[in-house]
Amino acid sequence: MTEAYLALEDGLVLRGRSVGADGEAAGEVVFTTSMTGYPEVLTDPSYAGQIVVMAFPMMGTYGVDPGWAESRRPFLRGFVVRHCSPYTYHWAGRTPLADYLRRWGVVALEGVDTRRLVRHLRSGGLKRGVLATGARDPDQLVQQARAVPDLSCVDVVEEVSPPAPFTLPGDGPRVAVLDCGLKLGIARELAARGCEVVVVPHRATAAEILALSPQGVVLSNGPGDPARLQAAAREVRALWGRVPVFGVCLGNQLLALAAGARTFKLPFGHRGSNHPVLEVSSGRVRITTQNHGYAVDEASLRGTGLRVTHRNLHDGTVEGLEHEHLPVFAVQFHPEARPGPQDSRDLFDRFLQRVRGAQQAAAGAAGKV
Amino acid sequence: MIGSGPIVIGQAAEFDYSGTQACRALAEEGVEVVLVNSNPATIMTDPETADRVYLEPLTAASVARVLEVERPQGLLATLGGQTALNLAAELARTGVLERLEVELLGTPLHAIHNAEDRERFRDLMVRIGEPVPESTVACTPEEAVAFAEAIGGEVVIRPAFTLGGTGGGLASGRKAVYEAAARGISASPIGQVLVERSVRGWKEIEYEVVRDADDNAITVCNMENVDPMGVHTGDSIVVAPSLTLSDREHQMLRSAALRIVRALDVRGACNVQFALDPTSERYYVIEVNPRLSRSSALASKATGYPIARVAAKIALGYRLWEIQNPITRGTACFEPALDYVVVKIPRWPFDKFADSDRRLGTQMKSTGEVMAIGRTFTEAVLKAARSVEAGVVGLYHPRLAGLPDDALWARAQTPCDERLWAMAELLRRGCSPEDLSRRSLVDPFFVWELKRVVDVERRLAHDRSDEALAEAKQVGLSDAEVARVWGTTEEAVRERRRGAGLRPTYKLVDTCAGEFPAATPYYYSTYEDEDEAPEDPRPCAVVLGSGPIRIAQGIEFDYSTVHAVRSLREAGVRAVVVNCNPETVSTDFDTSDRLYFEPLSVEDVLHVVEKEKPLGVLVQFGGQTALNLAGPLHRAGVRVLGTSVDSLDVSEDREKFDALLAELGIPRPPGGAVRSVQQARELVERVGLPVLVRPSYVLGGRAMRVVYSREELDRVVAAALEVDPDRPVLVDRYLPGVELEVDAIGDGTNLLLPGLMQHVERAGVHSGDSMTIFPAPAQPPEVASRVVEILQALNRALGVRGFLNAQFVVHHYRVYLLEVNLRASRTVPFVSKVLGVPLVQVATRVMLGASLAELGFPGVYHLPRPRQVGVKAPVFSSEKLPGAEVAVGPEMRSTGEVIGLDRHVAGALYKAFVAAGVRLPLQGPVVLSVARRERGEAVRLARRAVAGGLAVWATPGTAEALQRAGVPHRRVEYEELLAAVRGRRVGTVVCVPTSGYDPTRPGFRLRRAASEARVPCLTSLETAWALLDAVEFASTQPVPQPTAGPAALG
Repeated sequence: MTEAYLALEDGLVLRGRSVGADGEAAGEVVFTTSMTGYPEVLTDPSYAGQIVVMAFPMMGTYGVDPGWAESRRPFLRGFVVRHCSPYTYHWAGRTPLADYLRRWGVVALEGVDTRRLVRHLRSGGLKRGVLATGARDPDQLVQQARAVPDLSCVDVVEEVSPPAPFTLPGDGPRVAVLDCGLKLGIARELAARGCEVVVVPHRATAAEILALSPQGVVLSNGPGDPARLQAAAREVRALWGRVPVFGVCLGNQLLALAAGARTFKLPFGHRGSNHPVLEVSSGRVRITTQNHGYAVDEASLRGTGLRVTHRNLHDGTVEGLEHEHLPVFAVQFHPEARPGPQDSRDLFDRFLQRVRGAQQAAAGAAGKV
Repeated sequence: MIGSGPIVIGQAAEFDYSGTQACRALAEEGVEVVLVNSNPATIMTDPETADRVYLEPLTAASVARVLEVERPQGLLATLGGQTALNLAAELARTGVLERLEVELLGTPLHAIHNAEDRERFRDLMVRIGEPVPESTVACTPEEAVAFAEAIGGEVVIRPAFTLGGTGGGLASGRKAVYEAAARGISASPIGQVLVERSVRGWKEIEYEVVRDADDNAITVCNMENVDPMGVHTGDSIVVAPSLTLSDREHQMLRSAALRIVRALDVRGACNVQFALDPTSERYYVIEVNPRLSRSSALASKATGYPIARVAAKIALGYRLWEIQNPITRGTACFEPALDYVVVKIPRWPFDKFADSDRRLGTQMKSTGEVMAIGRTFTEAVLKAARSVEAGVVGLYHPRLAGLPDDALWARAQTPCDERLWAMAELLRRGCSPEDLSRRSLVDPFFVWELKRVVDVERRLAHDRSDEALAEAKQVGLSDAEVARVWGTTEEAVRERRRGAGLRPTYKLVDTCAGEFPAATPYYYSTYEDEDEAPEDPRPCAVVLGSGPIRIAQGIEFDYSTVHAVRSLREAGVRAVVVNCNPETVSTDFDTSDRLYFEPLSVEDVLHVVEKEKPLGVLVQFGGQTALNLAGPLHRAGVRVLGTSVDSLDVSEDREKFDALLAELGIPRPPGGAVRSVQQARELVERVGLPVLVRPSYVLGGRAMRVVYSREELDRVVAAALEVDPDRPVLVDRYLPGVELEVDAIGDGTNLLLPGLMQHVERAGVHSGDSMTIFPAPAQPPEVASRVVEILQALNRALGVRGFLNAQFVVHHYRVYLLEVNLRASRTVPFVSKVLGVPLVQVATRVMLGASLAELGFPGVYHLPRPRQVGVKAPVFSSEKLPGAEVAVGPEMRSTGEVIGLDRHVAGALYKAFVAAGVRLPLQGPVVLSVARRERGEAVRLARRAVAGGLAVWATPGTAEALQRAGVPHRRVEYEELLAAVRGRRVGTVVCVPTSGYDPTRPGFRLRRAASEARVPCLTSLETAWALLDAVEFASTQPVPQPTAGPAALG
């Protein structure tokens, strides 16, 4: 058993056992309350730059299956759990969690009071931290934690966005996905609806995207501070009116930034599979998966042409936007789930309706000409 | 609002909890609540819970009369279990609701029918594309056999519209299918069974869904049964949340549950059960319960989410997101996140029904359950194991440890109450987890978790370091288990552990895994860094609850616990509750000032005491469970409030108590304690026959018998000695006579007397199984004054501070003391309800130090005789325990009770019988089958029945006696009679056993047949006399009366 430590910038140090790779990891320490779906959490690129604390104490109980991955590899910096199950007997999840963590070089800690950590982060705000294995000097680790750059100063999207475009074939409409840290679930939902999905890197310009002649554009989720993506936001603005746009998570924030609104950092973010979101127009609530540390500033939306379609029932923050008359909309939560409730998969249908509506309108316009 | 009536197997205290919470939720909205329930031992029937309470029988006729008197706007029937739901369905079907313009609130009737009628449910599932196992509805056993042969393999048979799957079962092969189907058809009120493909061995997963009329729907939590499909979920060990499901599997089933609840149009709470293939994503929908259920009570306690409260608000028309989650003060429209693991273990009555079949299947057999919370599965399962009071302190079972491997394998392979411990023992002996999983069908994950515990035990045996001890505590082992491994005492381990600085920390159950601040004080212990329970300098007292509902320790004790809490709070003392029963009001998040959801073991209670530093601990309310902790807590330096531990000990120790009675000149039936059969023979020479034989220190007369012959004496004494070889067996002369009982409160000087209760059955029938009349019909003045004299002598001599329950027998005008309990008894709620005086609240004040005189009850104070008479009748669940003796005797067997309240004894008897399930007027002849020694009395009974216009049938022996006495009757042979009973063509069976417990005797079979066919079966002639009183009264229709409001105290 190798000992391991988590040190936070505010001086809190927890000692436990290493259940992942040897070494050190640094990043923003966040927590999620999702009780199932640790393989999906591990491979969600939106956690890039972060050390993730699982609030539910028993992890690894059904192993890991590569088919559950949401991206090509884990992007999070480190993983903190109360208990990591050493065995798995799940018919699909055949890899024990600890083996998986080691295979992908994820530094991980078990045997610490994760509830204490969650309460600490919830009441004091998210902290920078260092996760380290082996015998360590706690004071020195705290110093190291204080030297970790703030997430708002790091281009984490660069790290997760693919180097080159790639395509998932399909017979239906061609949809371009701007990949700022795409969860495969989004691509899978589109592919399941017959779309030809063309995934493009986050630096793709509007012109490059439109050159693919997509019938719709999806703005993906992704890590870090959205305010660092002003360039991408400008490109997004250039897509409006040309093609239906649907944003997810970071995509929602990009849409707001594109319209000239602002985002702000939440005290400890929304991460979990149980967030209630009210759809303003229908008065209906859906339970959603969330993973975001920033939110759209509602006051800054005035005059941007965007209106709020969804709100979080816990803190009232913006959970969805749509353009007043263009087929442009986005949600802050994750309709693709994985992990989490599938209550919002209809949003992909809604997007495809808009795509088809735009096609028909275009065909109608072409007919007139 | 309709309650759920008496506690029976399949319908326990959970409906008191949900009903009480719902009543409060309705009252908050300014709704005037009228409640009907026949169970006096409930908080929901307290005058504070509803605007008007009707303690009336739960029959359609009786509820209709209440509706006519009250003319309510709405009827809420989804919080009173299957009983309330069935009543509502009947009231709707017969047009009563329409005639009286009563709207059915919450889930609409069509949804209930679609959920409960197997065929309609199946059709609906097929329509929405949800998979259901191949099945058919059969109205005859032949149809069931034909279907089973067509699909091949094992089938499961479930009767329609029954509680806890009564009469269901698994069967394969022509003969077994035929028999199971026949049983199920007779158990179903509509004569239908569902026959379907068995998915035994698949994972059993449940979802608790809440939906509003606007179609907002959430799942409160999911639960995974450790026992796979094949064992009724009520009899399964259950873990929440699921641990072996991937997110894909969980979301697949969650989405299916929501689709189903939406398709049904549920408006409120609903439980959905699935079978999931352990090797693929194939699943089947098994069943839904469109109402609050045992599972929803468990889900509420497991998550902190108040399902009943939310369901009640939805019934009033609120949308989910308009309802507040009282825990976080946020919205109730979210899904709880847990950061702990919850394990439920059922509590079975096999200690009482040693003869019954202990195997578990689709017929639920448990009477109650415990829940435990830990940060890991091992911690939770070990806590639950020591909460269930099965003579174990963890996963080590001393008796099983002495069994050979094949006996353990038999228990591991065939689900039974001891399976968990048998599996742990096999692992201890080195059996491979893979093998154990393969043969038990329990998921390997859980088997490996048990192995982890066993491995820690093994390391601990060789390593006594602080680190090893810390590991043991983190995995969840109790000090007592560590002591076993180390071959030392629990006290020694405690000292050692304290020395090592190992103390538990307390964590909050907050519905949100720490994401938001929470206001409710609901805690569990674990061995980690941070203790979240803040210091509170205000004075407090710890109230010990009563643990799992079991025979002889039922919901009555939760009633008392809750009232003690209320009284403490009124007295300005913080009330801290320790309990482990998820079904109860006492473990509701807002009942006490602080709730510790912890095992009622010395170790766990001591930790709470160390944390809270209370004025003292109250042990008189939680039944024998709490009282048994008094001595050990006292020895550990904890102050026990109320009657001193020394006095408690005197009252429980036969020899000390006999000495005290001799000193005080109080007579009791002659007898003594014996340690061998030979000693018993000698004693009987001295005192004569018949005698009452029972082990000392047992609950509810376990293994107690009346012995009429010397041959029987040897056998019974030997069996009683076996129960606990370290303790003597008590043998007392059995004195027939009127049995009186009293629940007095003493303060050592003053004595508060609520009046006498009289048992309908003679002494020898356990008081918990007797019908009881309160206040007792007038007694000769010398009897009444002698009773008071004895009570006052005991009050002074024992320095009573609190309850003084005593039972007497009047034999030839002489009063003998039978038993004394220095704690709140089973009858406290019954007496309190009849009087309208909450006795527990007075007793609690006395325990806190007030004198009765200060409370307004100086001297020997007789409470005024109430204007109405109450009759308490026991309710049995023997039909659910195949092979169990039905007859009443000194060993308690009833699971619940009902009350009949009226101005006259006969009226109260009438209501009590009806509430207990007897259809009056009788639907056929009175059948007499009476032991030889009581045939003279049987003749008199028959004469009265005939005079009252009833037909009398008699079995050959009894018929001969009637023939000689010239009483008109019809002689019937047993075989013909059994057929008539199974066809429900008789009104009641009066069957007094010669010896009982002998399944080969025709009388035993007659009693079983009556019980299984739900034909009233009376096994004591006194009960039969009372029934005739009630039959005569039946001609006058009684009018329902709400119970008296709360009486002012002092």
